Amino acid sequence: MTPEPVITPDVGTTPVCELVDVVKHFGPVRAVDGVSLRIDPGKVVALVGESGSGKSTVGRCVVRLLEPTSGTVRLQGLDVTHLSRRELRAHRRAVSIVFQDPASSLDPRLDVGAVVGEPLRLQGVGRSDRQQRVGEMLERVGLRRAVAERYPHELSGGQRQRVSIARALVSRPSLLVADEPTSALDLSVQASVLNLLTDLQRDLGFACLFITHDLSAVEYLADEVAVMYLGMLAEHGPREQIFDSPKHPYTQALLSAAPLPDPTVQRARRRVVLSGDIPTPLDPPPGCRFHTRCPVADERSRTEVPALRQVAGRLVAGHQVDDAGNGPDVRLQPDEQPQQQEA
Amino acid sequence: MSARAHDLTELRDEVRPGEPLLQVRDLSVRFRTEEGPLSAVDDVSFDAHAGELLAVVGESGCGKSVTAMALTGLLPGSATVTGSVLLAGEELVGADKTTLRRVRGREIAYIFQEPMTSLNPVFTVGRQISEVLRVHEGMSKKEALHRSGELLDLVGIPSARERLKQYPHQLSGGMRQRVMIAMSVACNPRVLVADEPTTALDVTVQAGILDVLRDLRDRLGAAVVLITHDLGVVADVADRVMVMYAGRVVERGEVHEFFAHPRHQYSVGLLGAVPAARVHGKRQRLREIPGLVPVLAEQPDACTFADRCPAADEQCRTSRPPLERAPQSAHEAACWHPATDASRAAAASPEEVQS
Repeated sequence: MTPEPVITPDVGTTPVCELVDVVKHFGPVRAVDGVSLRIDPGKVVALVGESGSGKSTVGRCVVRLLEPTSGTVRLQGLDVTHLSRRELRAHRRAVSIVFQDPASSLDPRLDVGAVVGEPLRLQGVGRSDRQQRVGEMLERVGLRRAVAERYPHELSGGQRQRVSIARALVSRPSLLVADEPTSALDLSVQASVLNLLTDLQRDLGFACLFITHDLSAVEYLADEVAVMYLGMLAEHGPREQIFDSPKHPYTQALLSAAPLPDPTVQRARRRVVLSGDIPTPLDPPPGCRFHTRCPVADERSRTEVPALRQVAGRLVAGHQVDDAGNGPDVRLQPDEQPQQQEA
Repeated sequence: MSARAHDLTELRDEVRPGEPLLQVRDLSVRFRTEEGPLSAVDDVSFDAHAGELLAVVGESGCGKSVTAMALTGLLPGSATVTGSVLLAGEELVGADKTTLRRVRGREIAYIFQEPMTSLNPVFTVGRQISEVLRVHEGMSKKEALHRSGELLDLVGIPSARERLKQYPHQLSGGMRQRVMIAMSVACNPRVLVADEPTTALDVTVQAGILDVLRDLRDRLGAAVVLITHDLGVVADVADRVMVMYAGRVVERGEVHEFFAHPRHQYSVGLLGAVPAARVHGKRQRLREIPGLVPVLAEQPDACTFADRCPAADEQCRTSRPPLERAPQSAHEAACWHPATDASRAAAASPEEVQS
């Protein structure tokens, strides 16, 4: 049974994007193995996980750069899972993607005006209208209109990422997929791109699937956090719930491992060092995918795949968490574990 | 342990207690490039003490990696290195090849970012570590292999004896980086230079590698120079911090002091650029540093951060600020208008963004 994602109890709204049990295999590689995720209008959902977790593959399935092996992708209520390239064209304006490395994702032979205007040209928007909208978009992302005449190689990394963002947003999509948009940038430039995304999201109101491994950026930008591990979701819920009281042992370990830029706070924290690395998606472990590295795994974890279920204001896939949200915290010593409370 | 292997905790005699192991003075590096001369490192001075972890922080192009390579003459022929690098009193700048070869690996060892490209894929882990010991320490094959196992234990690799027989591709990224560290410390180096050792790794794995570095500092008494752009990593493991910008040292100080009271305007900017935890659900707008890091052919008699600095004035553009101590403190900054607690508070978050 597929658990119904019920993060935001807005019964009336159609989600901008809904994934139901999406599976994507590349030959023997089981990159994504049954992900259900709902993104509501205007929400920023951060998809976090380590390399090899399948988070970028999920992003590419959402924009239908990849066709899922099975499962359903709905954009604004319409099933787009198996649409052809031609059929997809109408949906391309509804959802855009920004990649990590703007140097390789922008066509070096086109000037910035052509790069940013291309989505409009494909929609049949006329030249003068296009020029106008490209100019407005460039200003919105903090570039001068004259940049339209320049070529990507003439720009700095931060400026190129602004161009990518302008291109992604020029068709006014209702969903932006941002795949590690700041990871290739220097710290001071990252800040300006994060500020820009925050401003644009507030002003234009698009929903955003923000794929990243940078947890400080997640806390800054996201409304909801979805944690992926080896092709499956471990936990998904509102930002405060996930950061303040993570329930899944992997979420707890991940949050505890990311160092905070404050020596006094950081050195007082207890980190969970996981043994080993993420297993290969060629041969994922049976049962709970995390059991090979989980400090609290038991027999059931090794045999039975935990269902993603509604617990304590979020969705969590873990055997150790009971229906009232009580469960072990792997960041604490055995004698510090919270007492079980009646629901 | 073999008789030839040094006692790991024994400091060699030339260095008196309290005296720095590594003394770098006025180190400058210039490159000849097709676009003309390039000044990459300018008058960099610092000390590294035994049993201490110094973090060198900066963004790409600040000269932190070039500084590290210059210590043991690892730069290509297009580089001109001037200044002084004293290792326990021995000058390394301009030293002959024999000296540098002896120093590299035995005295100063490096750990780089990419463990996969630095390991040889066709030899077992055990053979690669043993080779270092046989060449540098003259150990027998058996001795070297035994010691290799001990080294893998030291860097926290479980079932070390079995791992010795494995090839690099059979190990995960984190394990490969541990093998690289084991090779680097095989000859008990006195200085360990780690250039972005965890940048290619996931955070849950990074935590383990940082533990290894801490351990090497504490147990081997090594001077660890950690080059990183990650302020979280600095906050976690560093004893002292040195910030570089456009080839110069702009700030230097004890780690708690640095994070609590950054003095150079660039450091203030960097710390403000990192998203901080929310306070009462509200987020503070991130501080942006407008403009770009300059690429310099010549070092001007000016502050090279002036064009991007909110506090810059005429003095900053016409006169180079020296690295100076704050009153009653060892915390140094090269800034004509160093930030104070009051100025930082006033500049922080002109607007709060409601979440």
